[in-house]
Amino acid sequence: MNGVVPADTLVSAPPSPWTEFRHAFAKNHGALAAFVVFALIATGALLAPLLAPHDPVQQFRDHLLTPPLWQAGGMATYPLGTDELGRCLLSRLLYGARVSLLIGLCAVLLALLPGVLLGLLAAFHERWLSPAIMRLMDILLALPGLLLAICVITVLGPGLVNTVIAIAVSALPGYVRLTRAAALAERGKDYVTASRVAGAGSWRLMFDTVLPNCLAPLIVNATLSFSSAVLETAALGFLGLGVQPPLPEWGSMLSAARDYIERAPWVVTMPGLTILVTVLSINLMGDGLRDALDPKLRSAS
Amino acid sequence: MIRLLLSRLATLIPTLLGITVVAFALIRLIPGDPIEIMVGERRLDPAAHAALMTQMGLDQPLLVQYWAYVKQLAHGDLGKSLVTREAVSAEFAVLFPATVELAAAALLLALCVGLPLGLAAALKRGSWFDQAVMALATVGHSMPVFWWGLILIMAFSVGLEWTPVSGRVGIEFDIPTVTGFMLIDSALSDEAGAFVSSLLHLVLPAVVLGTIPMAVIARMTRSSMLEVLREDYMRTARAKGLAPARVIVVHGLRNALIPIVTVLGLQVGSLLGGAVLTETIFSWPGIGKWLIDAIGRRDYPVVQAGILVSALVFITVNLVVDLLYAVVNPRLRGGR
Amino acid sequence: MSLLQIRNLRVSFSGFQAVDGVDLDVAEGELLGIVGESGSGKSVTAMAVMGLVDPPGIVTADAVRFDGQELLALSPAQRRRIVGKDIAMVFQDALNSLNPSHTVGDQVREVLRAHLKLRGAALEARVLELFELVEIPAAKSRLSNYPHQMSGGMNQRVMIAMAIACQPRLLIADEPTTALDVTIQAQVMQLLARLQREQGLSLVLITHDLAVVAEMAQRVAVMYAGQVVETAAVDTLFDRPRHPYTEALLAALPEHNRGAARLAALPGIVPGRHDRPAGCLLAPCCRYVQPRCGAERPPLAQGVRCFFPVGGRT
Repeated sequence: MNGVVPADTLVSAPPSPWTEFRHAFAKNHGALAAFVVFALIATGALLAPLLAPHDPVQQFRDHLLTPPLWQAGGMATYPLGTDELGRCLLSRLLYGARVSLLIGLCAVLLALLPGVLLGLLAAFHERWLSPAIMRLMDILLALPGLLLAICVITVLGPGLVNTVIAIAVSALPGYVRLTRAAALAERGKDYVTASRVAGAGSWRLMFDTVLPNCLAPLIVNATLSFSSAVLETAALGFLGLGVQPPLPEWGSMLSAARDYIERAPWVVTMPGLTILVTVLSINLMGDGLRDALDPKLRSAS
Repeated sequence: MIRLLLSRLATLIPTLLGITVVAFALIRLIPGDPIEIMVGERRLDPAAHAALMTQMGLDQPLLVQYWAYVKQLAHGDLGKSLVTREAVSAEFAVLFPATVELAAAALLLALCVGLPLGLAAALKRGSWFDQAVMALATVGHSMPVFWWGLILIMAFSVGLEWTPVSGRVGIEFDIPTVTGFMLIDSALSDEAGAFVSSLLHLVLPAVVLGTIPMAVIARMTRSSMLEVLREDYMRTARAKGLAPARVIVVHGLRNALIPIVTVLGLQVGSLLGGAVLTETIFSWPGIGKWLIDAIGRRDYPVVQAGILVSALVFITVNLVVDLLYAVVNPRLRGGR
Repeated sequence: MSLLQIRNLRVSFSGFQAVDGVDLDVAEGELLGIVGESGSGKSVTAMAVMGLVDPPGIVTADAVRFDGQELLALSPAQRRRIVGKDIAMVFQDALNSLNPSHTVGDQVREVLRAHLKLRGAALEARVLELFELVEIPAAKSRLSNYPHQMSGGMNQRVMIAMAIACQPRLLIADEPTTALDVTIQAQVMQLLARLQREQGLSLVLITHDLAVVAEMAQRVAVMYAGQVVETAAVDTLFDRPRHPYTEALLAALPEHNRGAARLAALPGIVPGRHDRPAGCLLAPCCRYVQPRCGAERPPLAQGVRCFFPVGGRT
């Protein structure tokens, strides 16, 4: 017989999930660029004490409202200029990055861990725990994100730690719902039944069997809620309810800058641009992650 | 449909009760003496303190206090502002329409710009137009609302002097309140140029507030439309020899809108949060700004009322969206 | 002259030749069966005739003539006047092929309004008449049903009603019963056959089910890898297949393999995008292959596309 393709001359072995993911992510140029930008920001935040030309809270009374380097009147000592109290803008932005990224990370973790646990519990104990947990989440969800955070701040008072708690509380219901939905979907599948028949207990089922398969949407959501957390931190700071001075924070920098729109626009544009670029890069990474991790979602774009 | 409405209302009751509990607990959770917090005065002498305790019923068990609070709410009494000594509900009635007007304008803008852009991007998938729209949408979605407001003020109010910086209408006008909606009231008044002034005052805040919903709606419309375009029934519609416009709108968009309706509820939430920020920047006299000022001044009855009302509005909107979703998606309406 | 004449139809998708030179004729009032396995290009051929092939697909042909008119030369607007009215199509998965957000009644009304401009009482009367024609019981109450409220068989009847609404001259049915239960399959097939007789329309039945074709069709065209390899009257095809592929198809039927240990199957797989032979497309799998087969593409001559047809040339 001629022309028949023998069965064993097939393609090479299928790539590992990690390699597949890396390829898919790298193909998305936006996500890759975003990753680079974010890495730069994170590095800037980490190395702020080394990179910042000045102490962020130090006020240089002789150089109030100095324009940035490239404008008339600017000087190299203050590359991005100074604010209304003579503080170096670049230094404040770098230290502000520490604050924002730290709060974001902590808030996400603080919401993720209990959220996943509650979601799994709700998925596996549908009769008693599930309605109770979901009703509780409904109450939290009755207030939209920022308002809920404001509510928590009203009770706890402003400050860095309270900001983390407030943002975590407003992000919690999202994780619970997501985990519950994903876990419920997995629970019906055969491999879970097989585990249960083999004698796996409730906890083992939840964490060993089901959770690893729910990771994809969780990772994507965590990334996107990280960017929300950065935005909310800035929003709270802008309203005076979040991180308090003298700790440099991008949002509170903007709040103080409102009066200087005409005289010193750089005090307004710089912090805001930083927030935008940071949030944008995280969002683009999240989009790239989603496209790479979930093939179903990938095809729609 | 009625069944759906009733079942939704049934799950709503416990949530509503929960909200009242939260609002009730809000003031009592704040560290410090509740009398000082609720009355706003410090260092009261013991006699006055005790008298106030009894007067405000704070010596009663919590459950009794809660019940009293709920009864109070049922009568529409939201308490008195610590700062102005006026009834909160009266202040609220004046400020609420302002926020509604702003939010409605923002949502309208978001829909009128976001939907067509998303639709066009889906139809021209892969083109430079599509990529540009998606890029803009991603940026819009990542935008810090308060900064965006400041930038637009810098550009249009300060730089070009096209729009005013704050308020709902020029201070030179004296508009009697008829509906509470400045656009309508100014049109009804006989002051020349009032309507235009109110429109100009509304434009920038509405654009700022509507930017994030606009971006989200554009993205959702695009992805929803792309899914729909691949469905078999689109092919059938074309096999019937129908005009392309009809196929896209009557068959395609009709089904693409279904998931978008679910997103609307979330967007209203985003609007409520964004309203707080937008009103602060533009000094727009709505409940968002009122809430923030009250927090700053420790006017706790106002804060309590503001939280309660926001939650109520949000829940109602979500209920409406749920019902709208059932209207728009026949598969949810019962039958087989 | 035939109602539908296709000469050298080619459809390619980004370099992949899905339809590779199809020649077909459909006479008035004829029931033509098109058989072939998945990937043979039978559905794509139908879509090309209906004008449903979108970019990046490219459709070219020497002729696609319907009732004397060259379809590919028409403007989109002109073509839309014919599609849905004079040529109609019924698809495989009725539930997914109907719009879930419109009632079935509205979907039939739509085609009547667009092509025949019917309104009001005349429109309602015709819709009801159509539903009864396709044997939908309790037709009046069904008009306001949504597709998800009806069974697969009912939905398929609605699709047929939509297709025959404007009394087309040509109806193309692409695997109309594949997605249905076996018992319903027979009913729908009989319905189609009856409608074809009563309305005098030409019916092109696309299927991979040889049994259905044997029962219903008058003529059969066999497709393989994007080409028509044999056309013949149904009895002739089944008694004396001439193309090696047809022969192999028939030999693989369970009825012809009684008592055998294995079904007689054709070795190899249908040429796809990357392994299209230079010569006859069946050459890699054909048991009668000769040197000439690997070098030249055989033309469709006397109803068979083969240099060395089974049983010799008549």
